[in-house]
Amino acid sequence: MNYTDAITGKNIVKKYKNFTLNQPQLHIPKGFTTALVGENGAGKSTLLNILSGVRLDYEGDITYFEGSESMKTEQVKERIGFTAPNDYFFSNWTIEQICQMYDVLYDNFHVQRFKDLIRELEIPVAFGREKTKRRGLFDRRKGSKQVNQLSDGNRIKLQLAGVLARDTDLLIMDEPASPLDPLMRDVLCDKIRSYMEEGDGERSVLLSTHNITDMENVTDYVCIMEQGSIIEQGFVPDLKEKYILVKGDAEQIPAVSGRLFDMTKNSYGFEGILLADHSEEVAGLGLSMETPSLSQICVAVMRNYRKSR
Amino acid sequence: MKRIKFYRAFTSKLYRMNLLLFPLLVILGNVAVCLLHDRFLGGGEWVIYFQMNMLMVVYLLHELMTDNSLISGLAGKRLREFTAFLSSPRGIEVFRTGLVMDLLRKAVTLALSLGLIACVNRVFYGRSLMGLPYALQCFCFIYGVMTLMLMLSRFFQSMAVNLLLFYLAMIGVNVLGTWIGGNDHASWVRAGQSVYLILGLVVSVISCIGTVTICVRKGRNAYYDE
Repeated sequence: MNYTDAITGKNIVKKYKNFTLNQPQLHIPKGFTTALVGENGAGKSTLLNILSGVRLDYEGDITYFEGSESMKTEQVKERIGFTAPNDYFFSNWTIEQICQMYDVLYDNFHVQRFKDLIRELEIPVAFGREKTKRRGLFDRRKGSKQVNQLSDGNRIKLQLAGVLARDTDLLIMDEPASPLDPLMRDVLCDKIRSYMEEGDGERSVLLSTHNITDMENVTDYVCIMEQGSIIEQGFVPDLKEKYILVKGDAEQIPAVSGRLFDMTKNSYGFEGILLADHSEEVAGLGLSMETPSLSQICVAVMRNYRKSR
Repeated sequence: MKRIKFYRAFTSKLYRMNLLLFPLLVILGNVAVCLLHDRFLGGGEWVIYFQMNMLMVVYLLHELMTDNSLISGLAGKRLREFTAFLSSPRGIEVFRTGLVMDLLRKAVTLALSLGLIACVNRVFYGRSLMGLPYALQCFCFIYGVMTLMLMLSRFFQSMAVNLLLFYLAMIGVNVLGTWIGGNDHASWVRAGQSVYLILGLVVSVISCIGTVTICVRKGRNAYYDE
């Protein structure tokens, strides 16, 4: 598939005491939604912090939008929307204050769009005139909510409203789905879809998740991360061609053992992932072969990586 | 204009409303002092010493408490809530401007309070009871103590610790007064003590630069991924 890069990285290294993020090459395709999948502590948040310009203490080169911009001037941040799982705003900021703050922090922020999104996402606040109309000037129940009075889910929705109220070309979202209920996850997926559609191929999304099942229907490209490095990446259809889900009975286990990329057994049989290139090796064994889900591929790749270490 | 816009975004409406109450408090407090002073203490020009001491206590307490409500623990170890600033191209500039403007606002509040005290005294006694050098001496010293306390208090989130700092500050001022003025523990309120003016000025400058530098540095390194 032909594509250009929304983000290109070279030799990105960030060292901690007991952990090193080391990514020799990074290509995030433009015009697609990329999911960064990995277990806790794999380095996803660190990588996203680096890519969003939040963290600047790393080694390596990163360019954005086909190499046209870098983080050196920080102006590229105007084109990037970033959401983080927690601690994004001062906890005593009110929602109205956040709206004012976004307005001074970014040139491309639209106050009215933000208010519309707040209403659409059902975040429990009211703004200025709405307050006076409904319950008088000081509607403590709705109007003066602070961040620390909101649930985790509403905090994420607030960030989502903030980034979507701006004209950006790239969204970087760290664990956006985790605190959301199933209904809101669906809304999040819808919002990502419409963001991409409105961008007409010029916009990109990079999000991280522990649980790819939630975001599978919006994901075009996947990067699987383990121990500070991306160990597998590709477009979803390509990965689904590369890996095959294989199922069989318990008595077939000795025949396939060692040939599968990853396998889980129980007393009745087994289920495993096979590399498509090796499918001939198990041909004729009467195994059931299916297309794996993205989640199954991710789990198999991570488990295989662990085993091989 | 841009700086004012940044400051308005940086501070909440409640915080700004709270600041408007302070001058009112100063007027009421000093009217009460003048009335009670004449009635119970028999008058005398040393009412100004009492007024300055009271201003120091109330101003320090007010600024520490309001600052705690606005940005408590900003220079502390656990600062994390900074991503909104870090992900913006001008986040650090807005943050720094907010801090500097608030320090300026604190200075204006103090100057205004001194002016109001002079006005109240003029109404009661026909003159302000303080000349410009005396007002400057008190301004510099009170502002110096406040900024030093502010710099320290921003390392802690807890209101209780900030209160403790306030008590320590009061003890510190008395100890310093005794040390500089012999047995006069409140020597800083006496007229013509230029040592307090110089001391206050030096401490103010160091504390203001210090608190802004520390908070900005802490903010820049406030990553949530560690």
